[in-house]
Amino acid sequence: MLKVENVYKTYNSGIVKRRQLPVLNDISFEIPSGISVGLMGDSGCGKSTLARILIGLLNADSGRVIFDGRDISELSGIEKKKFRRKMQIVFQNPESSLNPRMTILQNMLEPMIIQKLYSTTEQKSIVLEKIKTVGLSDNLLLRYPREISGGEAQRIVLARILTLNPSFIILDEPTSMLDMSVQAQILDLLKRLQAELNLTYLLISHDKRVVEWFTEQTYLLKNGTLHKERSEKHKGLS
Amino acid sequence: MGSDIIIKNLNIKFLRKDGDIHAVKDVSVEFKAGQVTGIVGESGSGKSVLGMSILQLLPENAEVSGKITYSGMNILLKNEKQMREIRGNKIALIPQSPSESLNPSMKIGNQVSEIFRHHKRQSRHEALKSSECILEEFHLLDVPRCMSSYGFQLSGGMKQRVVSSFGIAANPHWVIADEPTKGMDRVLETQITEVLGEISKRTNMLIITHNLMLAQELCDRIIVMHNGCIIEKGDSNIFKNPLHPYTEGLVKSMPENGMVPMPFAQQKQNNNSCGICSWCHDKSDICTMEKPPLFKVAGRLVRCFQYAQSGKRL
Repeated sequence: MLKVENVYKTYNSGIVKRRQLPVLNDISFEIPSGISVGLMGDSGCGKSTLARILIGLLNADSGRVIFDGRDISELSGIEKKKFRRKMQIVFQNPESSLNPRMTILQNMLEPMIIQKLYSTTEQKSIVLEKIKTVGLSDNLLLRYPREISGGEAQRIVLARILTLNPSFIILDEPTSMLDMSVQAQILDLLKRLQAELNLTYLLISHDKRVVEWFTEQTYLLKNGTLHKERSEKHKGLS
Repeated sequence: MGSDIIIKNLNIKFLRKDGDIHAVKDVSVEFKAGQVTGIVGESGSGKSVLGMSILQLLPENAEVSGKITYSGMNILLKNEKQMREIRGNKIALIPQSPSESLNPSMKIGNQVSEIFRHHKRQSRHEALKSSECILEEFHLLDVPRCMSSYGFQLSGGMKQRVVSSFGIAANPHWVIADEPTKGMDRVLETQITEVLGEISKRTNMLIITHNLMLAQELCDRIIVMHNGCIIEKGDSNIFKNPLHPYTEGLVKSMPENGMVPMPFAQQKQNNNSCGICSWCHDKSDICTMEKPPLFKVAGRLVRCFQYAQSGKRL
């Protein structure tokens, strides 16, 4: 499904004296369809940089990211828009992922409007369907993000992503801002959705216990290089 | 080390156009001087609201009733001017997010010295000296450089140490630490636990957290809150042998215990129940009809009808 080949990334810093900070050094790995892969590493090691390169939010200095057989850097504007539907990302802080000036309903409709998908009636029925999928009530739809809890906001972010029917989701520290009970609920929900919708996940986390519980294969990013930590058969749902 | 904080029949409601939220429901509790007390619970359980009510730092739409006694005075009757004398001097706060708590346009040295100038009436020079001393106590490397830096130039651990120094700068009797490890990685979490451990040796402390391990490690007494109520209260062994099904659920949802999820909270909860009836395995008919009182069982307080026979009703 996703193949990363020899990716390099260096950041430049300093105004007067330019310095180069290599972040990713010859990164290559592959993620087959329908499994969960973990990416661990200390704060600032480049995990999120790699995630942004995978999703096309950041360009690598060199190397290729191949998704469903196509190099994402070679996609045209329309193809890139379609690609973005298939690959989605969940960020660490759910509150800052939602527009505070929009209601939950408006937040959830926005990706479908941008992608010009479905009629208005269909869009609303998809929102109702997806909000039920993540176990929330439709009476949240007219509230604003500040009026819901962190766990509810993260489930709204997930429901919003699901409106686009993605096949690959990058989970960038999706539970680190949530308490432990909500963390277990969200990870369990993600596992159920994976089984139902055949989703592929890349879970980025600094919590080894969470990564080991959630994923079948783990990589460690250290000093810019990737180390394969573990490869096991599917562990099954809790 | 100072006086106890005694809370009696505290009710806190947030008044809203689309229906009030009863965040803290008839809570009575004593925070004893000389002990570190931890309040744990999931988001929305009312733990932070309870902590902030002690400092009167609630939003304007909060309606507070009950009594919070400290040093023989009811804090809830104090006006803003009187509260300013209490905040920092008597009861201080270590806020939730160090990045958001630091002023991005002020150097660290000036921010710390502000506390000494305001609360201790020190001169600018004296205040800077005192700031240097207090930052050194928190084992910050290269204190002069840190004092002349801005918040965004420091690492997460350094920022938390600076914010923690705010808490004890004026030598308060009590420090309230609100979610001190939220969103931090394990390395940082360990550092912060050390810092909090140091603070707890010199002052009384109330730690509000969802991190059960942090509470277990640092606290002498632990209070578990759910849906605005205290549902279990005991010593630091509470998580080794939880009595309330909700506390048991919290323990099981920890990564080291297999992350067994509790069902998602219901949108509308019946006020005449304990709030977990929809999924509790030990529920009986009375659980859906009546809100359980606290029962005293084996040195603990538990709000669950399964202890109605073995426990003493309070």
